[in-house]
Amino acid sequence: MIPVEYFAVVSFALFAIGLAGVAATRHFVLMIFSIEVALTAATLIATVFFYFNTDGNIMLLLFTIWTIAASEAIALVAFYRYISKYETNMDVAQLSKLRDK
Amino acid sequence: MIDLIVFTVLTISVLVLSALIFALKDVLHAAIALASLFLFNSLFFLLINQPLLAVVQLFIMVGGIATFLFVGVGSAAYSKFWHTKKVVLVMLWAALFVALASSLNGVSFTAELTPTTFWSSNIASSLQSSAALFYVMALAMFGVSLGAIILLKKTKRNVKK
Repeated sequence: MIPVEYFAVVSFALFAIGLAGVAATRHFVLMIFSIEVALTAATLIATVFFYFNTDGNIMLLLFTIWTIAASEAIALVAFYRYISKYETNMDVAQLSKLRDK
Repeated sequence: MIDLIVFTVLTISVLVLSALIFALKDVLHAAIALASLFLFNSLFFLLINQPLLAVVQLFIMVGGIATFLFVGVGSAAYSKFWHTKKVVLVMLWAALFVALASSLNGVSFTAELTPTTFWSSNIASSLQSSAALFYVMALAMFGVSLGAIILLKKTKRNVKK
């Protein structure tokens, strides 16, 4: 059986990539992808701890994470509408220009 | 032993794919890397004997990935700029990983070895108290997605004019 610590380390590595991605990229879509990566790491570690501890009520947490992950896709579509309408680009540094339009 | 080999292969795949999301210049390819990451992540769930959660995760993420692919194709024209500072990404990743992993230092998981598999019979009891909240959330998301589609169609019409 694989020790819990190994899964924890993988989850931490994934979560760190997600957080670092939000900070290091300027692309709006890639920022959303980074958050998805971080949420994926969260589901993994939650499930691993449920597997080894039995008494946790994991489903509420997992559904909440999945709901947030699914809502991001909708937010992206709504945001894409403004990008295409105002002919700007996906650079978050340029997004403040949308406020003036 | 075979478990450990599979785990190592999955770990390497997941980390490489997550790095590829930022290394690839094209958003569409990044979305494909993210889809593969979700697939390999669901294999992790199988490794800890949770087939139901693996399938649910995969199905939910398929919807998200389909949207990401559409937006990836549609936004190709708006994505022509240098998007990620890779040195900053690596340095931040290392710092965050060390900070998170240091929390494991001195912790021992001795109370384990009572593995449980999650089956669909667990769902009703664990979600009963929050069912109304999830219904409201699902309705709100449905409304927002309909609104997004209407707005997109409206924009397309304006562009044609």
